[in-house]
Amino acid sequence: MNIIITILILLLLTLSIVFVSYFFKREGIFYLLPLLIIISYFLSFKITDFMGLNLVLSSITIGSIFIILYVFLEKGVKKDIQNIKNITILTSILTLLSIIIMNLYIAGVNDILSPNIKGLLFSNLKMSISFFGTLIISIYVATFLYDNFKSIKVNPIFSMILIYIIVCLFSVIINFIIGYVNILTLKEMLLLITSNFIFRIIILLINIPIILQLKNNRRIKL
Amino acid sequence: MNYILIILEIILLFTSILLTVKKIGKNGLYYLIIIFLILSSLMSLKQIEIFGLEICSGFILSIGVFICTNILIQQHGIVELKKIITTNILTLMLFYGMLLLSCIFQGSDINFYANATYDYIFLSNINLYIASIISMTVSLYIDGYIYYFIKRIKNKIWISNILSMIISQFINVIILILIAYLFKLHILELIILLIVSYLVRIIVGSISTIVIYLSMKIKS
Repeated sequence: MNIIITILILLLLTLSIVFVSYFFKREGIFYLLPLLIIISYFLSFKITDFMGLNLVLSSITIGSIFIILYVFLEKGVKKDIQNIKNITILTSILTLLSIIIMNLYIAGVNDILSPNIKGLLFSNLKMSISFFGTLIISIYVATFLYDNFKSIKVNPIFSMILIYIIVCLFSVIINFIIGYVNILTLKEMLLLITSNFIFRIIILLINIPIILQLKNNRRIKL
Repeated sequence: MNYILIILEIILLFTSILLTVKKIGKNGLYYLIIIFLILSSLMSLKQIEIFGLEICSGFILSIGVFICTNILIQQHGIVELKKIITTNILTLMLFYGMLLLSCIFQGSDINFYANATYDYIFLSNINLYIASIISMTVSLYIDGYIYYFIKRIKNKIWISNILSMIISQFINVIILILIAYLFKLHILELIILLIVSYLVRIIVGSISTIVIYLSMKIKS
């Protein structure tokens, strides 16, 4: 069942990227970015069983954020890259502040969901901060590395994979260590880091044709 | 405490709109619409006490969507409304769709309680999701047209904003509360909840006129 839903989510994400790029042109892809960031943030709170491996659900969706980044890196317009950075920072700050304010509100006496929301989102606030922190740093690092690889004329697909490996390793290690320390055992954490890292790389490899297709898409050409 | 937090949330809302208008411009308002839509949907899962009554906490950010809509129509005309409505429907459907799909996933044995809590939070309010999509779409459509209509007749920002807020928030509150709480609350509680929610929204919506004036000043 979990495999079918994973494929369904991947299809939904891919279709939504293609759909917005055709109907809203390049702005549509930017509109998708805050949505994907917040969805990935919520999905990062659930760990699922995927063919015997423990998979954090955000690993499925976070790849789409990097597809968007790579499409615009390949286009090579600095203004677009700055726009992606701005959107990521804006979304992260607003989401984090809203979550904090939401949890500081004194709940009504009949509100039965409030303790659960507080338990999931607020008691593990370090996980939220590390999620947004690593995402912002990853986007900055990916942009920096891409520019450097481009200057030494590394093959774009190879550089894309190499950058994603570096960024992914960094974000998975930092995010999971900060988020799950004192919650999971060291062995569980190591397995979680390894399985999610491999899964994210596989997702990127699946998505490479989409990146190339979007890169050559006339509708998002400047 | 709740009153202080409401004021803080209003300050956060107004500041973010003004900063976005200044730094990013027109597209920034669309990003904000998407962010506010999702965050207000999430926040509405929590009920807070105001004036002795329990109301959904996401109402301030949902007004943010209307403020951004009015600024876009004020600056760029009615042509933006179709795009705003499409963005609203697609955002909410994709967000709720992804949340519901993630809840169908069988959770792992590790971190079991967090997985169970996640499913419980996001699966227990499906009627609120439906209510949210319908109420936002209908009220945004009405808000946009009323704002534009009054702007054409009077060309005064404050009249357009306040009147469009009064009508659109009334429709929004009625649809939202009727779909989400009709069989959950007693009829008297429902009417009081409706009146309080509406009044609070009107107050915040009216104050937002300042933001529209300031955004026009920033643009010029």
